[in-house]
Amino acid sequence: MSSLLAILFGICFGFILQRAGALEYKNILKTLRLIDLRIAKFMFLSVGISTVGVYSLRTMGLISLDMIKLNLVGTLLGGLIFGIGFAITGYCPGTCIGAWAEGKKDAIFVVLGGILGVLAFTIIQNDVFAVLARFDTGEKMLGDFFSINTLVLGALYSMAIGFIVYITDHIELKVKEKEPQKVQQTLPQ
Amino acid sequence: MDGKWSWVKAGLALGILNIVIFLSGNHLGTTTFYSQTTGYITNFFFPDWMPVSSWTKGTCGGTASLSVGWQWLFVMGLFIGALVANRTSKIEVKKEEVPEMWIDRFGNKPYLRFFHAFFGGFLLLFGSRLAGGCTSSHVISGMSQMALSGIVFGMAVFAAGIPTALLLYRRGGGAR
Repeated sequence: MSSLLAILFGICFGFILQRAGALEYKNILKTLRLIDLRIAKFMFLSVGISTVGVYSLRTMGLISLDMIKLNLVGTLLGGLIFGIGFAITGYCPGTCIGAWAEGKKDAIFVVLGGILGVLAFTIIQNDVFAVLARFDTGEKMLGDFFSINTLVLGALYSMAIGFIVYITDHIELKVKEKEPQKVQQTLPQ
Repeated sequence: MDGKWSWVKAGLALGILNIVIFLSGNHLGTTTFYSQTTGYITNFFFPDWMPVSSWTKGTCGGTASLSVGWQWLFVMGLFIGALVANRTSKIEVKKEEVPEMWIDRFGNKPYLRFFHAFFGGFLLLFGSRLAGGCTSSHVISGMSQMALSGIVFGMAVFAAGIPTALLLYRRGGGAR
């Protein structure tokens, strides 16, 4: 049953990623080059929606949280390395699988590179984790810093993300209104 | 875009899917898939090199042993889902070897693109293992739990990704 669910959820995830355009190099790069932020808006909107649901259901006792431990240096450094890889490939570990399914040949090389990346890290991980151990702070979440009800905090957090996404969209529209003149000026050359 | 879903619709769908996955007692993630696959391959050729538990150490599927587990099947589903979406899409996605935007910038050099992809893929998963997760587990799953690790990871990805992308596509630089 659990295995069936895994495949079913995976299918939904792959389908959504494809329909969102997240499997396309150009959309990822347009987001990172700050030309068209649709992928960022898509990601953060889904986070904002999830938070309300997750914390509502948790208050009802229906779900349990499962966070990844924060290691300030490890998480930050890992994120930065990931970001560079993200800009070079135009895929992330999940989307390159989907892009491979779509028949994009370069995505296969991302998967192969990824396998080598895991191998390289696993070889050195004991040394790395030994150095990073003192930066381990455990499963920290925003609620640990504010003494208010987590459901209320979750709602505020969702609204904040929704607001950021909305403002980003608004600014993007404003910029695009001005853009056509710019494009015409540069085209003839 | 062009008959695809708008970001609002897609974001809503992913948000709901994420909640349903939580309800089922599981969590979204793809890094473990890479860890397990690599572990399988390596253990097949060099059975005594590294302990089985070392592959998924510190990832979102940290307790998982080397087996075709939930996350592996999830990624298999992702492949099928993307395939189905591609085949049922009204707009044909071009089966391109190399993305058009990349060719415009670096020229029609498939092997250079494959090298970029391979090298970038290495960085992606090396970074993921170091941080303990990737976009799915840290951002989509982690940030929706208000996990500090997810927020730090998400910010770091864009803090490095945006300058790198701008640098790669800077005007007048490199091969045309």
